[in-house]
Amino acid sequence: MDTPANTIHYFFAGYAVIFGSILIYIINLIGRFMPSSLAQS
Amino acid sequence: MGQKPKALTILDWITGILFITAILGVFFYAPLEAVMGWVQKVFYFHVAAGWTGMLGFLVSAVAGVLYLVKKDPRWDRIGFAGVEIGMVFMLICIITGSIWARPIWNTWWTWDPRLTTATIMELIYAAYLLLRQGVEEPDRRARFGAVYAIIGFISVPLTFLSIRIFRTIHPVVIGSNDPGAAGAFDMTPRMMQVFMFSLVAFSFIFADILWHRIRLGALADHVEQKKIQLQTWGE
Amino acid sequence: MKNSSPSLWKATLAVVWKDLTAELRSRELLTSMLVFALLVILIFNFALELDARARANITAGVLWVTFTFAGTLGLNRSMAVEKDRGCLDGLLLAPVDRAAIYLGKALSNWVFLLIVAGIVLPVYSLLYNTNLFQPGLILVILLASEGYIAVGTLLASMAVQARTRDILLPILLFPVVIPVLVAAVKASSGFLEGLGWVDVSTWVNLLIVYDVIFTAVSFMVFDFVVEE
Repeated sequence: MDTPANTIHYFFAGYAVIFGSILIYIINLIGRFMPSSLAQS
Repeated sequence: MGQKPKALTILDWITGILFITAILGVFFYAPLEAVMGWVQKVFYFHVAAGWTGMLGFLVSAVAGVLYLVKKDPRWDRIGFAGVEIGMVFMLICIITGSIWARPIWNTWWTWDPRLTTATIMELIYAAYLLLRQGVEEPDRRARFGAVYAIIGFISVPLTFLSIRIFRTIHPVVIGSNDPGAAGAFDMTPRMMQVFMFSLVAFSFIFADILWHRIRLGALADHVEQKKIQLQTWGE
Repeated sequence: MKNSSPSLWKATLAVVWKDLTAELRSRELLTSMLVFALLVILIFNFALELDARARANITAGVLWVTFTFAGTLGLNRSMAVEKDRGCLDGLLLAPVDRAAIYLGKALSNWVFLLIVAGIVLPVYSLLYNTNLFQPGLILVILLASEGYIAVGTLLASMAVQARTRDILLPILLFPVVIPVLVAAVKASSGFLEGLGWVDVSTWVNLLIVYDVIFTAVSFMVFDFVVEE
């Protein structure tokens, strides 16, 4: 029985991309939300 | 632009809980794949992100049709939101796919039908954004966006088909057992559970972000109208 | 209603006739498309070093890149002229079905592209000592250019109404016509290499499917693009 290939670095990179992108997008949304709600008042 | 609806707050919480559960499931519950090891775990969210991206583009095409029929600016906001979210998640799908491909196919990039189609989709919707940017009048911007969202979405299956006829090495994990595709694997029941759960969780994320994005669009339109009013008063 | 406005077919022909006679007088569209097409072939000659052996495989690719680029030039110009001289508004005010405007513009654009192809083919054959006049290749050119023009006319009429119009058309058009280009290049090279119908028919079918779908959809949504 072979042991699985050591690919844990790619695993971390993959999830860093997933979480990073979602986070950046949400921050970007908030960034666009705040000025417009300020401008409204 | 009223207060944040209660249903949205509830959706926020459900989405958060589902997402965290999905992460825990992928990290700890799903078994380690025998050949590929840890990197296989990228697969769950890779497919889920692709699914979310497609949902976004589908929403934009449907909203495009509805806008052209009803002329309600709300549909334009929904379509625009769909494109934006679709692009973010499709990009995640492409990059994670590339990270997965490096150890398994031994290359960052191949001209496989799905990869190529996903990339062409990003280009189509980048063109969509450029088109919207180039038109100032809101009504015309909405009409053009709707038309292009429809045309772009219809072209996707044909693009996929045309590249498919060149052969593929992409593993087809669901619904086909093609032993020739490198990196294909059989899903154990636990993997299947985590996979399905990720799809559900990402669908919730999509719905949640879409809702927020639509509210943002409504707010931005409102501000734009106010500005135009102020300008006309000033003159 | 029926008595006051001309039939769709008559109105379409009128638009085509207007475009063709205007072009006959000025010749600016066709000459610029032609010169551009020949320049592209010339550049490819040096960029790819089209020698006798490489040519057989690459000819199809060079031809389709040439037609695509020349086509964008023509489409942009054809719609921009209407917009700038206020002809588009005039056409829209005319008591004809908007569909006739779309059909007419698409038909005349198609004719222009086919004329360019009709001149590029013999020139290419002459320059590289091959014979491109094969029925299969001509069928592919007819089918692929139809799909390309059907979408192109719709997108060009959007692009000319935008602020960034000169750069917008290729960006809008190319990602959407990729199936046409893939199928056209594969089918053309198949016919040029003398493959049988069985090997090429998939691509021809794909072209037909694309033509039908996109002509129908563009025809349906054109109304919304020119609406004021």
